[in-house]
Amino acid sequence: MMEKSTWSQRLIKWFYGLDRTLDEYEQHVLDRAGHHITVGLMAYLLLSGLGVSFLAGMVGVNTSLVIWQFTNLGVCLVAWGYLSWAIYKLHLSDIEVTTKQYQGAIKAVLKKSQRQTLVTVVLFQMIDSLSNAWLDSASYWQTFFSWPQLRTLLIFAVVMGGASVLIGMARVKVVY
Amino acid sequence: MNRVKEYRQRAHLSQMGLAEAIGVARQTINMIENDKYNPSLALCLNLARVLNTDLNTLFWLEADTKE
Repeated sequence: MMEKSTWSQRLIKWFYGLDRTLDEYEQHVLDRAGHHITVGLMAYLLLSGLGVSFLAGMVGVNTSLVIWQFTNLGVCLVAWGYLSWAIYKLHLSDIEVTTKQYQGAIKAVLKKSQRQTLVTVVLFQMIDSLSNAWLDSASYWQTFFSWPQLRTLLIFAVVMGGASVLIGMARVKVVY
Repeated sequence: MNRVKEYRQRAHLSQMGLAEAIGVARQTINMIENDKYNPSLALCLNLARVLNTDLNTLFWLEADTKE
């Protein structure tokens, strides 16, 4: 039965592009995964703070902070991987269609991927140009339209757009 | 433990058809049929209503089977 969704469920749904209403079982799965991740991250936060203090005494503050950054990245990837695995295993992200609806669903997925890629890439370019312009003491628009900046944008668009299309197409499942 | 699959097949319903009738995802029906998820009372009552039976026929405790 449909229940009122919590903020963490809404966040997870937004992040993974799950746009349909989730039923009680799906909400239960997301809640459980969200709780695991929250508890895990809190434990990591406490332990890593302690660990980095010990590490700073052994290898120096700068090295310990660099190590901490990498472990933070690793932990984020593990949390993301766990949630993605839960969603994939339980088919929460599947878009189930009949044979007749398949072509339409693929077209819709492609359109959505294009839109998402465009928005993300433009946003990335704006933020990246801003930081680069500030670092190089150059004007914003000059940096925005500079070749190295546009080249990075193109690579990012191709990689992200390609991945988005492939993931989107894999989500469409024909149910007989 | 439940007889959802048996009663669904008797009613000539697919998992998708039953899911649509009670407003849940097909995966939820699959999980219930395979005893991997214990549905809420409201969902059990809805299943019983759509499958034209009662709760006691559709669901029972595993301990009751062993007795």
